[in-house]
Amino acid sequence: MVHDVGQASQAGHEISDAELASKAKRGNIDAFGELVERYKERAYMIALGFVGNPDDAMDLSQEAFVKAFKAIGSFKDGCDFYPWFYAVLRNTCFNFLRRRKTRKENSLDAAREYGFDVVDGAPDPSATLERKEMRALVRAQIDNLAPVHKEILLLRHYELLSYKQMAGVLGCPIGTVMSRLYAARQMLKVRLTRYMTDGGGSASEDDVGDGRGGR
Amino acid sequence: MACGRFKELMMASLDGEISAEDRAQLESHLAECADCRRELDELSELSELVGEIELPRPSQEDMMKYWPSVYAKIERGAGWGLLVIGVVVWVAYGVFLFITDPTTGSMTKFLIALPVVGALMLLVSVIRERVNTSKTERYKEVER
Repeated sequence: MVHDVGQASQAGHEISDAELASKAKRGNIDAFGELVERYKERAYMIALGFVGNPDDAMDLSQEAFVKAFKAIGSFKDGCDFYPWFYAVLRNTCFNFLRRRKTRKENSLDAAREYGFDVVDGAPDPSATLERKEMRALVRAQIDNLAPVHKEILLLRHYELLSYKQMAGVLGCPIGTVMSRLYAARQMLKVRLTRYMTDGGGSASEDDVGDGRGGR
Repeated sequence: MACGRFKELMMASLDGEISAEDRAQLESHLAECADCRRELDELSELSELVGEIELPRPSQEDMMKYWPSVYAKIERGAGWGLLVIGVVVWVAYGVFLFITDPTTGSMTKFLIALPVVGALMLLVSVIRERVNTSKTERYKEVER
């Protein structure tokens, strides 16, 4: 599932994304509907990666499309639609996560929503966790990372974007992509180690906040 | 030894994005730095685990309903917008007619305006309080 940012989703279509977006800008809602059809699943999966809950992911990804339609007047003709839409989706998800941060959500709840079998109680550090359980733990800890760190892992591991594509979507240099990936993986490792040794670490990562600090 | 730059190269190496020149530099650094070697091993294993995680895909049914649902939200938003604009314009027009009506005396206008303005103040106050409460409400997501 390698995406060439926007190109993969428009491959095989007669009309390009840019043409559809230009038509949508002139008030053609059917053209916008075609863009939604092209990117709906991808938008849903990204939102799911951000928020962890299928219902919220569905609502947020749809809300992002509604916002994109309202803001389509600011879309520059001839530009790639997907990076522009991704910025809208990202802001929608980040705002949601910021609001949710005030609620005390247990990371394990999120893991259970994925249908993982999560071991109850603090794990015995001497015991070797099964790989499936390790994946569930890793997923739960990813859910607790700062949005900007969660995002970079999402783009790399689930969207399978190259560094160049990630830089394009995020609007930052490749060096920033690399340093952010390092920070995210390092933070994830620290959180997992903490969890494995003392069963803690369920508090959310607060240091980066809304994700703008990592650029 | 300054390991900073090599952290980023370690990521590029993990993700198969490293150039031959950078790889040579990284390898010569790893040959000397046991900490970075260990960290690369750990992060490599962790990345493998992250890569194995699969997010559940949405159902076909949900995807079939997707665009109709987005369309309905766009339509509803436009409907609400028009409704609010219409009501505001009508109310403003009504107030204007009332104020400029020569057949109604000033005292009558004043006596009618008093409770109306009072009711509006109460309404605004309640709305403001509700908005502030919903911003700080910790238990709003709790199902009753």
